[in-house]
Amino acid sequence: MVGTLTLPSMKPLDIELLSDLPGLELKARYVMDGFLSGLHRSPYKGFSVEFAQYRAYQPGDDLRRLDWRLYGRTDRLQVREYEAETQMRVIVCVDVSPSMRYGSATKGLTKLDYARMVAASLAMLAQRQRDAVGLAVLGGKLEDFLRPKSSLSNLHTLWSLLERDPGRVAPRLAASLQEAAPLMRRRGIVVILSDFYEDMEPLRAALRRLRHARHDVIALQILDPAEIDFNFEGRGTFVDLETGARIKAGVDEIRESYLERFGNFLKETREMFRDHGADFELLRTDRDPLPALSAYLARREHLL
Amino acid sequence: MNWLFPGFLMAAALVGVPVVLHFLRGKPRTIIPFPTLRFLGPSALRETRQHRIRRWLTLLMRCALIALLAAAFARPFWAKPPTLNGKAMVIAVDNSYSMTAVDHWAKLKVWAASQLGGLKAGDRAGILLMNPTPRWLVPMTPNLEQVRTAMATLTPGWQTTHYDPALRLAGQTLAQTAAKQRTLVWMGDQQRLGWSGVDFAKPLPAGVKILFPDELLPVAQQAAITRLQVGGTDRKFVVEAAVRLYEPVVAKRTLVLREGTKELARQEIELNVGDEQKVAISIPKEPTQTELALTATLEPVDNLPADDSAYAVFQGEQGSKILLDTVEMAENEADYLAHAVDSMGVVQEQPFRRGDLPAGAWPVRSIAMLRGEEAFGSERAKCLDQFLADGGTVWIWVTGEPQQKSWLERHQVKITPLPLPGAELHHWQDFDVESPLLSDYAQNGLLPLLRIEFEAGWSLQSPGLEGLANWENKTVAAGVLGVGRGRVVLFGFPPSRAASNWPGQSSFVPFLHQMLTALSAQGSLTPVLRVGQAIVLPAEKGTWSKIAGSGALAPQEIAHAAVTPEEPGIYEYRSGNNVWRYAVNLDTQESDLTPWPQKSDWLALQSKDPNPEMKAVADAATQEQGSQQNNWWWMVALALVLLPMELALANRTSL
Repeated sequence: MVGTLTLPSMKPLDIELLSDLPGLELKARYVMDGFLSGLHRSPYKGFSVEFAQYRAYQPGDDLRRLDWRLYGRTDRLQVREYEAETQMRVIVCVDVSPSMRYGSATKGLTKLDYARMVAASLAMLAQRQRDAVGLAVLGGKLEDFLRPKSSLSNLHTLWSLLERDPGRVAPRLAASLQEAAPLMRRRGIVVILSDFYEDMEPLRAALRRLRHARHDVIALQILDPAEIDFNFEGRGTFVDLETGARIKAGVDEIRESYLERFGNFLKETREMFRDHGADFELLRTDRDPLPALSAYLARREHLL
Repeated sequence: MNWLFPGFLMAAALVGVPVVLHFLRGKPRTIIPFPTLRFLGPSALRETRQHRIRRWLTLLMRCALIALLAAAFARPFWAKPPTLNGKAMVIAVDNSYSMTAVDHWAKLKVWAASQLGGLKAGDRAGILLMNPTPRWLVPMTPNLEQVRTAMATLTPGWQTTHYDPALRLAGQTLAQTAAKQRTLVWMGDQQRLGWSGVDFAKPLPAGVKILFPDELLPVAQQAAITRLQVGGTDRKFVVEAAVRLYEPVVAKRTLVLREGTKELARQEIELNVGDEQKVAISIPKEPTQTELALTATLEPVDNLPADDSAYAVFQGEQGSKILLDTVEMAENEADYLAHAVDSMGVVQEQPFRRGDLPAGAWPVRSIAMLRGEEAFGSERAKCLDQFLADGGTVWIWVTGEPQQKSWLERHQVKITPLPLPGAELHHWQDFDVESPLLSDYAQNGLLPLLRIEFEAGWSLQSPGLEGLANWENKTVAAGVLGVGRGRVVLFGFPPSRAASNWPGQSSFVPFLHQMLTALSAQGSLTPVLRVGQAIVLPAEKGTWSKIAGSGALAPQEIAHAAVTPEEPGIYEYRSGNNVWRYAVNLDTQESDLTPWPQKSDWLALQSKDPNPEMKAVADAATQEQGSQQNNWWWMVALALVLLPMELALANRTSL
């Protein structure tokens, strides 16, 4: 039976503080620390019988894995680590299309900032799991691709790629995913961070292709609260960040139809991913991204 | 489409206001960046499109609303070109009392009726009364039966004749009538008085023909009572009458004086044509008798009976009397006030007689003029206060003497001497020309008053004082104050040469006379009244009735009113124990029946151009059609329908 990871309730992160932190690495570490402090046992574990090394005990480690004899000899708490029997391969795909540059709060995070932070945190988590982690930057085409490796230097490369501004790109998520698919040769976990503002059919085709290559897919849909609640007032000109199109409208008169259409879109998106055996999480930029990390760990445990 | 008041169309320019507002408010200022419009695309586009349509519709409705209201006020109508057909006739009726001479009225009515008989169905006619000012008894109408009925029941009045205003109005009315033949039927006796003032060089408008009656027979016997006054002493009434003979050269008449049906006296008078014979008749009187309502008639009755009667009233022992206090004159001073009042005794229109302040109660129907201290002493002051309480009128010339000052202060009047004049003497100014006391005098100009120079004077100050004139420092120089039921006229200077140069100027006596006339006309004295002249009755509620003269008048309860008697006679206003009587007489100018000497003059009024001027006809037709068509109502109704629709739409587009 495949084990599942049941996560206890975690103290939410201060999203304002998170947005104020400088640098992607610092953000990722803050997220990681917040995530780990909520766990009663360490997420770092392997199931191989081949001893690999000792390491210092960390709060949350399984006490069963303490080497009591070594403790008797050296008076230090050390945990036995084993070489994982199967090293996971994780590809984090980040959508950098113009719609992801939206942020309703003046000082808050844009959806792209949020996606980068989640991607960096996931990569950090994966690297600590000794998993090989890679990156695909999806825009009008496959903007960047980093092959999965488990080294620390790879992690730093990934972070720097994430921080690179791709400029204004066309919104072609499905096409760029199709482009990235041949580069992901071995089976792994593909984490897609996007708002999924894409036509369903091309997206479904791309997803089908990833699943055909036996990848496990985690879809993390990142949305701004203003998109979900549509809490504007009065009357104004709405400007499409992707196409530059403009529409003058009174918010009160279009709110109802917007919320209905948007709700349908969310439902369709969720069902599409779940129909193809993918995990799906909706992340709001005004809330912490811990559910994303939990989803990753849950999927990983499922695979192991 | 034509417009009755096209000036209102200018208001249609206001449509620019909503248009400007539309374009000023047209674009939403808020820009809302949004990740994708895919979820609000169709509905927002639809809403935006609908919103735009609604806004344009609102603008359209607002413009339409303004345009409709402007058009409605401009009174639109469909004008049809006028066509000339039928006949139009105006019968101008001289309804003055001279028309009652001999059989003039009856003959002229028959003649006018015969002219009316020439009209057929479809023709139009009207009756215009000439006096006292032109007025339509029957406006121009195709209902000839109505005109004939009015003509048959028409009776002459008691006014005097003025032809010119009626002549021009009738001519203008006919000129604007769309008829082939337009006739002005002149039903008048061609009296010289009537034609005076007519510009014979200015003929009637084109196409208007005037018809005059055949010459009337001249009157053989005509005399009139031109003046009747009655005064009184302790033992007798003194009646002064003037009688003028117009025809024949010499005649005898008997002047009979009656009170009601009781004959009081009669006197035979020998008259010469053109002369005014004055007679004075004494009538014995009981000591207790204080009133007399007198009717004088000439016998035998002549060809114009209307002016053979006259009326006069005597009310109270001192009717029309000015009570003057006695003052000691300084050296080189004369009693200018006494001289002025004495001079008013000989004028015809409103004579006044001077009397001394009585030792006892002052007769309330007189005017007391006080300029010294005599009347303000302790005993006299009681009479003065009682006189005012009973409704008397007092004219006080302020001298600042202690008892006068004390009495004034008791009645809350504070007097302050003017500063000694410098190089420029004092003047009074800011005259209240609307005041009834000054309005008559002001009609002839205030320049003489403005030129008066004052060496000394007093500023008047009182809470209830209504100013008549101010000093140059804006304090009150003359004013009127209500005390009890009476009135006090205050002049802030004495009537002496030491105070001002006025008593020696020519404006002094006329001004005093006008003021006294105005004061007496307001109730305290008996004014001389003519038919058609308004009488302002006392403020108390009372009964208005006629006690002598031709015709009857049902008693009427009235208050705060002015009445205009249309017939001569003696009228009475009774309020409780107070009785006011008014003798109303004819204006005897009308008694002179002499016709205009040259018939050719009035024949010259005949229009030189027999063809009507179409422009005047078209203008009149346009006016008539414009006032008859109610298109503007439909426009207002449409605007009222549009208004709620506009409001509903505007509410939906106000976001």
